[in-house]
Amino acid sequence: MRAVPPRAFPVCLVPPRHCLMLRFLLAKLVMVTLMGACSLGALVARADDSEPNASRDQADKSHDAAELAFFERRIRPVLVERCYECHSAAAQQAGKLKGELLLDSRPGVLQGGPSGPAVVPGDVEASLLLSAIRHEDLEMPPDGRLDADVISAFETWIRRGAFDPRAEAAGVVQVDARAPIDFAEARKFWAFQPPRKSSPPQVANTSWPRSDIDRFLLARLEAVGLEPVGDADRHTLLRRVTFDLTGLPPTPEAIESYLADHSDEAWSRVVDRLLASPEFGERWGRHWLDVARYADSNGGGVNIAFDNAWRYRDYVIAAINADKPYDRFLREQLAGDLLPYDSPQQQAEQIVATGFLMVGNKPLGKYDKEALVLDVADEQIDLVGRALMGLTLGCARCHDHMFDPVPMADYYALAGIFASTHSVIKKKVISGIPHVRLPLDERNASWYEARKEQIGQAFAQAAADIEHPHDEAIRIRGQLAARGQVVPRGFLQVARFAGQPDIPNDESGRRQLAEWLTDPAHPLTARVMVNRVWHHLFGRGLVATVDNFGARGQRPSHPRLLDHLAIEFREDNWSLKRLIRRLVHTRAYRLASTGEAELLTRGRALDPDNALLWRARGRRLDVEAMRDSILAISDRLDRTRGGPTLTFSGRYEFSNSTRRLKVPDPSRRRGVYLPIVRDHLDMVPSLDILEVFDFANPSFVTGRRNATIVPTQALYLMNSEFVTEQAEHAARRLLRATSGQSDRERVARFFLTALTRPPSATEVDGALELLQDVRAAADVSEAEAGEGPDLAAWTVLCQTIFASSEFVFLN
Amino acid sequence: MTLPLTRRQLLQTSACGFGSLALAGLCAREAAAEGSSAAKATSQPLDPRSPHFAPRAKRVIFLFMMGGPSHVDTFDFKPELQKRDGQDMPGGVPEAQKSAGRQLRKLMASPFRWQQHGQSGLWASELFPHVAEHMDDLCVINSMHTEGFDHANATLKLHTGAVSLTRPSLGSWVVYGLGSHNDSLPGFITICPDRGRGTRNHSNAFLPSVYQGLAIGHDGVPAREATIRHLANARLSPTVQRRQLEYLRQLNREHRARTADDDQLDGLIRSYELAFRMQREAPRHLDLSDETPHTLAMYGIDERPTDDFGRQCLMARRFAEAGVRFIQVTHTIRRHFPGVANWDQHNDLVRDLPRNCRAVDRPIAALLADLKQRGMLDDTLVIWGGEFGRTPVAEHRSKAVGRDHNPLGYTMWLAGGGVRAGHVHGATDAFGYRATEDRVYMHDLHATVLHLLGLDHERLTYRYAGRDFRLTDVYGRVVKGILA
Repeated sequence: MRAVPPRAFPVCLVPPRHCLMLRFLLAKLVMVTLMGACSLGALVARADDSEPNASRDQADKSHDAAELAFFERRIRPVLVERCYECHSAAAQQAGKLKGELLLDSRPGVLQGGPSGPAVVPGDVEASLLLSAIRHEDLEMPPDGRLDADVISAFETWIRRGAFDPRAEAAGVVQVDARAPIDFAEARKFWAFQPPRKSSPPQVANTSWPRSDIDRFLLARLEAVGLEPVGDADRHTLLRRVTFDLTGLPPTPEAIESYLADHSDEAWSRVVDRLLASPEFGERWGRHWLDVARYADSNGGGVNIAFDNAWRYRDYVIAAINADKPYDRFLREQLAGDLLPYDSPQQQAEQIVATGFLMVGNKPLGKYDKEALVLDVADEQIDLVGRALMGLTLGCARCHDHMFDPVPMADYYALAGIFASTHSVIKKKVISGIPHVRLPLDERNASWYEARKEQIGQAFAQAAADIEHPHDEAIRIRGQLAARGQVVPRGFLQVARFAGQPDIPNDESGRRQLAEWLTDPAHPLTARVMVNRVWHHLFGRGLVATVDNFGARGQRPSHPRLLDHLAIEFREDNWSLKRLIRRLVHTRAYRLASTGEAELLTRGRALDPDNALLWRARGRRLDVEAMRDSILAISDRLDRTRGGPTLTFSGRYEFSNSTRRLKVPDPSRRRGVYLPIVRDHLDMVPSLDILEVFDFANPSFVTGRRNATIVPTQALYLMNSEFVTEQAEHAARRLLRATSGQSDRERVARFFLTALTRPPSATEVDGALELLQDVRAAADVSEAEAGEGPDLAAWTVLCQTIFASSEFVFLN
Repeated sequence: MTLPLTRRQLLQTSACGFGSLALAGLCAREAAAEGSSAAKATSQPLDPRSPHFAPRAKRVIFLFMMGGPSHVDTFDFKPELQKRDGQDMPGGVPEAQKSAGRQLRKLMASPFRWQQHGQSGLWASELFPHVAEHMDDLCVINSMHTEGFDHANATLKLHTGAVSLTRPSLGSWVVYGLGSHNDSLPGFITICPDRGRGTRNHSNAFLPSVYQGLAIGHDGVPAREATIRHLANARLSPTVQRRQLEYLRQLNREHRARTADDDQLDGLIRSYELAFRMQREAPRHLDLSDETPHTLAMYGIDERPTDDFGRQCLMARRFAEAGVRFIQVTHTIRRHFPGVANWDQHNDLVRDLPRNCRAVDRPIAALLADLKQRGMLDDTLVIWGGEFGRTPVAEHRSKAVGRDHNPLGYTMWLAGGGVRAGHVHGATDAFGYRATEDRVYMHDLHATVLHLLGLDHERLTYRYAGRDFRLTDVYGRVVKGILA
């Protein structure tokens, strides 16, 4: 009988290889019984011919004799004296065996404990015994360190092949340390239960809800004795929905037309216009690119350019604008190269979609090919886990997941799929990344020919199956050399359902993985996506940990509502636009962020985090919205859509080439089109704004960005060249558009343009005073632009508005 | 709610509203410093926090020699290596080292003269004549070992404890653990960091971004031009900007009044106040003109080749005085010597290593002396070293000979804040290739640095993505042998 470690162990860390869980297993596991005794001192010829040192000719015999002498003189006495007490068959019989590790036979040493082999002949660094006696990992022996010369003798012994005459296993300890996961039990966890339909609850205040979604929300509020605050005013609402759907502020014309529209359809008209605008895809495409950890370069020490990644970015934006059903969207991104197509364009599009798997950070500095393949597969497994299912699968690389029901076998079943996919090819190839030539028909062939100079060859950074797909072996403790059982390619057992696809021998399994994920029976895919959408519209997901639906994530605040949304999403042909429309049509979306003092006091007392949504949640604008707005208000925004992002000067090579990246002047395009040089967001000086304002770190799946508030942000808004320059453009534009108007009218116009509301009387007075003082103080240097002190004064005013807390804060 | 007032209540009840914010912030900071209960109600991420136990050091100055200085030519004297010049190294080099495709041949004796120094008799080569005068203050760890045969991995390991994942930097962890004593500067400052490897070296990763290292300049600009980005407005006169700030505060105040009590917005407005203070105070710390000519000369400022690193070290001292917790000073010299990438002497070690040493030797010695004369060395931990050392075997890339990367055994040294002075800890093998005695792994060094600051590396955790993370992952032990 084996002990099962407690599930609530406090610390676990992702790779590299070891974590507290393992140390815990190694140290605490109880023994199993075995029989036999060790045979000391006997030199027994090794029977295993596959051993490299097992040849039996004369020369080797004399070699063996030398090795034997070394072993008997330097190694065995130490093992006997310092190790056997806890790591021998005798210890086992006495009930004193520790760590399931036997050191009194060669097989025992080679098999090692649950963490892997104690000794890897020839490889000192991979030999856990060495790291234990060096006190690097475990500290063995526990009663005092071995002398340095003893340790060095062990190093020598291992380096020379770890000759060991103690042939017969006294007994072999079972490696599998943990009780198998009880999947029936595990499936009872909410996230692994299929979403359940439930009818919307009854509410007391029947006049408040506008939809079933509102009923779910209001019922919870009523249950705890809360009520929602009032609706937001129309200015606030229009600003909110315009930013949320397009990442830009409403224009004065849009404000005017919405305010003038008193019909019942006014809101629908606004929402439908925004959903149909191309800016919608740019905004929501960027949300997806955060999740897809998109970047235009590899990052790290070998920061090569992904010079075709932009095609994937453009694919995402186009798919979202076309409202491509989400299940289709996923299938194309995971296995577009394997799907049928009607035209070369469609084929090309689908190939490009697999860029999803390819644009991550790859450890290209690694020397070991196999390690590289598995590390890249690890990155892709992490992506698929977090992005699509809200699960941290990476944990299961070295041991069964400690918190979620994901055994190592599931991890390596997925690893087989990705190891059977071309992701990195040998060094010194273009960017080290496979580039798939896109299919051309006559039409797009001439299109590409015409633009070849501009966009390069029609290659995509895309996935393809390798020639001979294969299954992967479990790597004990995540260590490359410690191969365990080979597991067939497959999916997660906890989400297994009847009729799930089988993976044929000659395919990687990506297509089947995509089918499995988008099957209506999959418990997570739809839930995770509707929750992401909810997060962007309401400032916090129903599951607040949007990338973690596992045991360590938060529980849903409204589980029935989440299920309702997930089922509706799926049954509505996975339409993202219609999902968003349903959400912004709720009354909850249109709440004010403030209200009567009594309501606020009660709300703060009963639900300080506003998890139940009794009011709207204020948010700092994300960096693209902030930057794009400043450009838009200054009439400087370059709305060119799509196309290549960065080029490469000099030849491609396998080295740190960050400094040779050439970036076309991106300073005026929308944020989604800016070049993302992983780990060097600030490489283009004008783009330092990305780092200052928490752009999603492209090394992580980011469903929820940081919204930090640090003083360098205020410094940026007050002093950066970017903001001051745009402020001057904004001032010019304002003066042009309002010629003949009074200063008072101009101030009002700018408030409306920048903040979507008219100014208060005191704000106007303050602005007029500021203008006057700046005009008076303006010296030649400020007036040199030619327009004199007036432009200087309006520039200061515009910049002050850009720097104000209200400009960067969405209410 | 009972007293003390929260910041929020203070805002609501105070007649001067916004204007009192800064005051409230200061009060909170002082209260926190005294460990009073008021701190809890108003605690901010940068407020000083009590360490886990009594600290030996209050701040860190980390002198990073980018590229991997050769330990067998500077601080780790190997008589056996000197004797066996040109011979094979017993045991050879491991596959991982060879697979980089380098031509590694015979043992190469250090071409420099060696001498023992001070009371303690610690060894240093002739390359560090000024630092050598401080050997009695140093704690030299000759048994460092780390992970990564290439710069990218080993550099990240040194800064973050991880080789390829994006993890918080040591400095970020320290400020996360201890907060800051300065109201107008960030707690983690990095002077002229290398940009070739990106910002990961001073990244907060998943920690809140107030813990990220603030870069002052970078490796591409001379230290005399190094400054904080966006600290000053190039277009506006101080008078105009003061007026602008007044109006900005008015707008924010009205915004605040219109919006229901909101922590995010409060934080935003507070950060503006810190920005205003930074803009006012930071130039003072960056400006070296109030230093005496004697001090400037001591650091080798205005002289080649010490001007850059001298300025960096002097700035570090000034920030240390100002209460900044963690100050990193990076030495790279590629702009002065094209073709010589920092401390990465694969070839022509005889020419290039002395150049590097000349650029940093006097400034480092001056920093140690300066801290000492100001009574600050006792509670300032100075760390010197690179991401790895170099091989005792020669590398032949061209006719000029150098040494390859060596993470298996190398030297870093510490000084000040609670370390054993005039002490050598651990040893490499006879040639300086592998650490053999009292080995100190990078996680151990990190654990020890945190320990000296009063932080238990196993308790300094941060919950991210459902797990608790540590600087030392699941490893690390405090190296007791180097504690004073």
